[in-house]
Amino acid sequence: MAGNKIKLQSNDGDTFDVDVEIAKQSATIKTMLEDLGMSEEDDVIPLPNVNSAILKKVIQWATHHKDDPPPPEDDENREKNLSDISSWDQDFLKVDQGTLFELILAANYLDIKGLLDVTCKTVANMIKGRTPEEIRRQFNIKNDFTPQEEEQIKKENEWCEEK
Amino acid sequence: MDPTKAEQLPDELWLMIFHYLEIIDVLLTFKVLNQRFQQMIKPYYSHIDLADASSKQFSTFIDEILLSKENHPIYSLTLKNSGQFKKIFYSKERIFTRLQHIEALKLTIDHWFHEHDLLNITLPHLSHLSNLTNLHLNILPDTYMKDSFRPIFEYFSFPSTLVKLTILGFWKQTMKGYTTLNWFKLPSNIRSFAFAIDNLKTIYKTNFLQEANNHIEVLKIAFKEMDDFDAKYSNLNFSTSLVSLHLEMSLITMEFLPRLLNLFSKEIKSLILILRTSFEVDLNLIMSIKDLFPSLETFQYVIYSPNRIITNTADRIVSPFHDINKFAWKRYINNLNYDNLSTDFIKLHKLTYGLSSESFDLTHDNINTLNQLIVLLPNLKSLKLNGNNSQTIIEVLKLLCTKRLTKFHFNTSKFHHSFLIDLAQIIPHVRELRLEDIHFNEYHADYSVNRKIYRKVLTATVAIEHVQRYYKELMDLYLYMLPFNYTDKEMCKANQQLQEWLNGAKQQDGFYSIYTFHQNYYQSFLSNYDSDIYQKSFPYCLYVSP
Repeated sequence: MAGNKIKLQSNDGDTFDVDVEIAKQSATIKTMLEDLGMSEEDDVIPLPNVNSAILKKVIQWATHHKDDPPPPEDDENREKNLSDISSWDQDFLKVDQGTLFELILAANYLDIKGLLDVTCKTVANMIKGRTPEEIRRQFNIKNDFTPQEEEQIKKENEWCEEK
Repeated sequence: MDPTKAEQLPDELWLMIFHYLEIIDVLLTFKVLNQRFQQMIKPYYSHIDLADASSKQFSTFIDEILLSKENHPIYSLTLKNSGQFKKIFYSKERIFTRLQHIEALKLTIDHWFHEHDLLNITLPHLSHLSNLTNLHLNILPDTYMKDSFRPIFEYFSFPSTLVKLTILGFWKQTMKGYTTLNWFKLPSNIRSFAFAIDNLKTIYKTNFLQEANNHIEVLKIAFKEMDDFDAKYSNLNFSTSLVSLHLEMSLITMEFLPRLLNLFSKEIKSLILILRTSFEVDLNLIMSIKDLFPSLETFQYVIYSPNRIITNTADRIVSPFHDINKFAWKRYINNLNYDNLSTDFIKLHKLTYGLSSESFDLTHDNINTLNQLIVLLPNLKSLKLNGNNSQTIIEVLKLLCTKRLTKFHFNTSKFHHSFLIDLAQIIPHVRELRLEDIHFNEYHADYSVNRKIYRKVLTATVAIEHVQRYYKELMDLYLYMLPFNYTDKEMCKANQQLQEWLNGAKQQDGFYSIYTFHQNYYQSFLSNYDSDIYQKSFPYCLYVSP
């Protein structure tokens, strides 16, 4: 029913009152409500994989997108378009990398396809056109190759001389 | 920033991020980061699609992956355009010898200038690919199988390992109403064959399909339009060995359908029909199709009718003819019901590739319609605009939703000297750019005012300079030049200058090409990728040196 609220609880104990229809953008929460017979009014839905700051951001995103049509099913023939991120989403995702990756994890756990798409696209945009060294610096990815392995990689990438 | 946040992401989510990137980007970026990513991307080496790779990406892929000593096995490969074909199949490194694991090869050209490159350069070398079982030649949208291909196909033997062949060149009847494609023979090792064709008449006039009766087991045909079923066609009998049939067509009337299906083996076990019709669908007729084939095990259909889509399957039917919709859009855009675009899906279905301003008067409200079309067509990539002058084109582009489009073709007799600088403000993301008509000289005489004045116009050399400076994502540049009113000496000099510019552009990211025309025939072809070595070696090359 329109206007009904539910309570979502983050893993650090904060609870948030959220419109049911907004919360149902999460397939995980929708399943809890519909299949597991959880009551909308009384029960608190615990979300043990999401902290308070991230849950707040997720609710903000879901509230803004509450009237969006359902996202289309994955279609291999559909173009992968990195540029179709709305300006609101672009502003919303101007966050530090830690928050961005936590939003991806939360969107995945809560099964919110639209949020997962747009956060993955944002990371993909950060990767596109960058060299491996730039990516390593940007995401602080540790190099765990041994010196011998590094030497091997260098050799592997040398041109093969045609005999 | 938490230093390990990126690495905390599980593999499945990294793979989801990779989904938004070109595989080539993923391979080139993540192969040397660390062991986890190296393992994660290993499956990506198996299936490589270079169709959207820039010249720089392509070269890096060749140098760092294909020619690397590690020699990752590649099982399927997709290539597009002459520059790629030449590098792989006709360079001194003999790169094609590194493709010994290739099982599936897809070669796409999207311009008829390159059709002979595709055939001349690649086909003779395919016999070296000893594991090749699946060959897909996509020579849409501007070209079709024709007699000039005859010497190439006669000279070439399909590899004996090949069992699956797809040729999406558009097989059509000639202006005289008959085709001369009798020279085309399907090798006896081919078990699965897919092709697109005008209509049944074109098949009737050729023999290749009937000659293949004993070995084709899977047949996929797209008819452009089934508008006639002459009584003499009833004598046709296709593929007695057939097990699976996929038919895709526009039907003028449904009554042709059973008669058409009667031409195929009664023993087929699998039937897929994709139909578009402007008339009401007789569902009883569709259901009766099953009775024609007593051995039928699966029957799937999707019918696009005026008011609805009728289907008996929830599965997405994979069609090799997805690209085939490119061919007819011009005709259909003229007949679109602009007031109710979202429901005019039959015609929209055909508009997946390109839009042209030719059907619109851009001085009126039709820009809104064009915008609506761009929004409604999720796979639309290409836009062609014709304008009286380049400023008109710029003004129109400012009003269009161009963010999602990557290929642009502009045609005007007067490109202003600064056109590409202005354009870069609107579509800096363009991947393919075609400009027609570009002039040789910087000043162009304008007789449209009372007295003769000279205007400073865009020349090819300035175009290349601006492209290099302002368009970082451009991959394909085509400049079409009309050498009217110039002497041979002037053209030779200009061509020499252009070739020097193009040689200088070799290190750039794009594949740049310049064509000069004379009386509707292209007279010379210049590019920043190797073409001269091959021109001397292949007898069927159309290129003529200036």
